[in-house]
Amino acid sequence: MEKTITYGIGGYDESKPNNNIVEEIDTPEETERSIQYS
Amino acid sequence: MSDLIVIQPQVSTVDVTEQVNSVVVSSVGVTGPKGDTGATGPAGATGATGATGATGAKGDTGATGATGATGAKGDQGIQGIQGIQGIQGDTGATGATGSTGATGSSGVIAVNAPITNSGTSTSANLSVSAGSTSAAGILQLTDSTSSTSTTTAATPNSVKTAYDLSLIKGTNTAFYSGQYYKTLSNIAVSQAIFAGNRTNYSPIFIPTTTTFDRIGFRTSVAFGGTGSTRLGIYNDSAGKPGTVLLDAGTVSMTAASTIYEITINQTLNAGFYWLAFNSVTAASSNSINSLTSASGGLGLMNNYSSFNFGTAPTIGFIQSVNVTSGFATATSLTEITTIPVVGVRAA
Repeated sequence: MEKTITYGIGGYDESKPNNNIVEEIDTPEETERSIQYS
Repeated sequence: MSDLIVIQPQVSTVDVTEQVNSVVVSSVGVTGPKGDTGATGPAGATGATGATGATGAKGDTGATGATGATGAKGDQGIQGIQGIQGIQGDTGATGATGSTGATGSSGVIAVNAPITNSGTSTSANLSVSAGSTSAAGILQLTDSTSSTSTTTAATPNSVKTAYDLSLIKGTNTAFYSGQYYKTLSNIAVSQAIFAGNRTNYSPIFIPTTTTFDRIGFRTSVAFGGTGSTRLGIYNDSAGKPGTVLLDAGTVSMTAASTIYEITINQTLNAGFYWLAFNSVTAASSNSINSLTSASGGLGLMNNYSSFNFGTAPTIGFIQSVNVTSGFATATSLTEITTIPVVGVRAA
């Protein structure tokens, strides 16, 4: 599983909730793409 | 003494005695010879004055007499004819500054639109009327590029923004909102281990003024452990990283195959910039998605040998530096052929 972790402005900050992480999104793992030419 | 003498011829002698009052003639004898003439008697008394003589002849002309005294002043003569005008003389010295004039009388100042005067004869109260599309006047400046006001004026800044936007529309160079942009390269993304306390600078070209809302990178599948990485943007300085434009802060890396991004609000004008990546604390396997220039490939800069399919070209710069407290102006740069993939997302 891929993940994207987004921090708020200023980046990592222990004084803010969740260390200033504002979003964590799971994304599907990239799969190999098949390109076909006709 | 007698006054009369009587002479008797027939006498022989006559005695004459002086100092007698009389003479006596004695006997007459023979006449003797005539005696000698007696002595001349004393001079008689002065006779009476004679008659006046005839006028004498005219005498000679006398000598010239002395100069007489100066005569009295004569009457004023007749005025002479006016003379010919003389040559113009030299300019005289500047005269002394005149004294300050008297204070003028007070009165209400007359002004013309858009200036108005609501004051009195002793105290002016001037103001400028607001302008509009039908009347000249003072206008409020605004930086807006979206306002539809007809009573404000655009600043050069807003004009430039509009101009830059017009370039985008004219050349279709705007970045696609929501997409990440990074170093231009046709090199396939791979992965590499990046040591800590080294700032990796990846070049990025911004074709037109663009605002970005994210800066980030991705740990590779080989990433392991935990670490911390600081991200930022540097200004270009003659083809190299220069001063810090944005220090976005750090992210805590804890997992593989994860995109770590920091929210930013950074507008970049057209030009070259450098995306900075420095693992303040490197993970045990600090593997990051990366780009590595290939031998004979196209990097940011190619020397003559690389044109000849030689050594892999330079694709970025690296600087050994501890940025625990933040980024600083770039120095002591070394060219590199592998860079972490750092991107900024168009807002």
